[in-house]
Amino acid sequence: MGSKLSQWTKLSPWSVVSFTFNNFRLLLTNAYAILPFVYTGWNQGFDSPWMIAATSAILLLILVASIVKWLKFRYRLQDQQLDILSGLLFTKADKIPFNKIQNVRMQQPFYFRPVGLYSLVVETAGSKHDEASLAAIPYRHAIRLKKQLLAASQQAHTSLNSDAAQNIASSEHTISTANTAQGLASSTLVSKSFTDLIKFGFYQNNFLWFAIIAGPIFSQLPWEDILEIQAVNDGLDWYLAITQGNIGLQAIVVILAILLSYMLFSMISIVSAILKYFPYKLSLQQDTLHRTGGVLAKQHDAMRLKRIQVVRFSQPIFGRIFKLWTIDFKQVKGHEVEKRGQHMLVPSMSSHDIANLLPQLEQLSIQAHALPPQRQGIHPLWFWRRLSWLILAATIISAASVQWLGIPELAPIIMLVVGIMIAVNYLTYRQWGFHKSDNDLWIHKGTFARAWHCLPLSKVQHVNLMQTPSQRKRGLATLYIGLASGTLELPYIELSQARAIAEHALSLVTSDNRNWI
Amino acid sequence: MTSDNQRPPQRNEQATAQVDHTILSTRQWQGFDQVQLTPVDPRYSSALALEHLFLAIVVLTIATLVTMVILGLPTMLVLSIVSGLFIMLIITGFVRQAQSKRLAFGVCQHELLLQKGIIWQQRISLPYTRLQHVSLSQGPIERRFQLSTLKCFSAGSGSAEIDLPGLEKSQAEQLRQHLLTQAGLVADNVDTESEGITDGQ
Repeated sequence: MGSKLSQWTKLSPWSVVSFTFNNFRLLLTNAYAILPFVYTGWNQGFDSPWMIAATSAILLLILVASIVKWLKFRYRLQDQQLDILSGLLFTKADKIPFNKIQNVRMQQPFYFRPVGLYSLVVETAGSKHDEASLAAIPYRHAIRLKKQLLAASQQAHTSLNSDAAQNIASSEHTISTANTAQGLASSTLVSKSFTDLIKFGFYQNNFLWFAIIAGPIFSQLPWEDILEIQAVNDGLDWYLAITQGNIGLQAIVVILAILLSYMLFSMISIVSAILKYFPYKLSLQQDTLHRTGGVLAKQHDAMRLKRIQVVRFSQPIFGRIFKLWTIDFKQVKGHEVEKRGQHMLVPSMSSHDIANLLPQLEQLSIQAHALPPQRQGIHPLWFWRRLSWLILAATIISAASVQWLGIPELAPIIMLVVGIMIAVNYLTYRQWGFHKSDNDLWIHKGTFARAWHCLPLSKVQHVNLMQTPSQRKRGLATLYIGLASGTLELPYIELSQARAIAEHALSLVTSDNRNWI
Repeated sequence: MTSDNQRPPQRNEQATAQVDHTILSTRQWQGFDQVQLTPVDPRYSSALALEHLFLAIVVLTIATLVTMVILGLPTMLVLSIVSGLFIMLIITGFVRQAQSKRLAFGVCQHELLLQKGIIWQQRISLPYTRLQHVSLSQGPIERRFQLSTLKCFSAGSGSAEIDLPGLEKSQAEQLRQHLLTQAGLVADNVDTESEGITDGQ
């Protein structure tokens, strides 16, 4: 098979549409590039001839660039690698060896939906921008390409792995791919209903962060101008009329307004969750996880279980109400699937669902079958240290503001800020902890929200044991565990425990020569 | 050099030897944070002092020019700002000297150890099996002192897991070779193992 694939192939002309959209998105994301236009438009009116000329010139340029890209774009699958040639003036030759392929993602942007075409995104284990995209591929061909890329990369990997079981699995895999294009045994692990996704959208929304970020922005708005607007004026009159200076009523109106904007925010979050994930399905084919779903753009993500470095179970504040968790699979940093928003996640999982799911993922490097029942907290000294520093800082600044700067009004504000910081630190302290079982290390952390990170110690890349003099005196240590997905911190735990965890990881890793990323 | 007796067996020995009869080094009955490590070359402190001197000259000159010529501040203010900077530079100079004295490393059988920090005392271990990339660099001041900086990278993060300055040049080159061989040995092991399994089937 694949004799046709080994020839240089052009993409379908439809890819011009995709290139155009990509270039357009690139232009918009580099928003500073269009700032001069917006500014001139603002000054001279958007219907000024210059404006129209410049806009159409840009659009034309984008279109021409896209057509040129399509004309020069070639790809082939040969010698265990994917070759891509592109570029007019600077010809770019990408060679992606199959064994460097991390994921192959099929997605269907909305503009390809009417014509039934797909984009195939190949993610690699190289640098951050090493990602190839084949646009406008018909469904059957896309499936075939994906199968071939994944199967080949899988073979390349299993030959690296000394695992006998894996070799058997891969030979089965070869047979089944040889038999039929779609004959792979696939078992559905998780599927999520409409209501599950509504719940997910509700508990996942970031209203709190929005409020924190939006606060300063709102204070920058020209409120005098806004108050001139009739509608705002009417609203304000209405507000004054019904509250009539009653503080209780005013508070109620403010709370209602916050609730209302919260509901609005939730609605947006819910709608986007459904557009992005419905109908959600997570399935397992051999050792690869597949996620499908999406209303606007049909997405199909694949991720090899062996590649997963850390599994994160997170629970935002509102997730606690439903007792639901979101599962993320973390890969090597720099080429996560979730580069543009999180793709490979499992929404709305109860701890019962988690206990059902984990045992089915045998190839996953973590051994745990459920969330840990308890955790061991970090030493209170962590909190006392921060408390004393904060109080010291607050005292000095307030004293300075009263004594030398002559602004005593500043003192209560500083006290308030420091009070909030102390509360945040206390909540963080209460949540931070760990649980070790077999070769897994679980780290629990969070402030308002919370998350369990499950680290397979066999994936550890480096360990760092840190001690300050005060920690040394009390036999405590801070342990940093470096994985390919990032470094995790476990502060102020007992030295003997930190050492035991580090030595356990080292003993697993120093004798394990298999590819871990 | 402690690393000499901890040098792992050569490649051909490893292929035949089934049982490793080497006496355990203290490393194996101590935690990785307890073993005694080798300090970096004493010339590193001098190199650092010279570098700091250059830094101080540049910073003080710029500060004087900016405050006097550009901002046109009164002489007393200029003097106090510059002397404040001077004191800060002296303090950081001492801190950096103390840091260079703490810097130590150890080449173990399976991993590279690094110790650093005065207040936040760190002990880092990077196993050879997780070594992705080694780089050796030499700045102008280091070149004068015949020193090199060794950096070891693992996957994922952009920054070096191990950043070890102050190695004597030839020793650094030797260490780099050793690390590469170790990483290579690992890769070779992978090859032979998988071959063994295909033969067996």
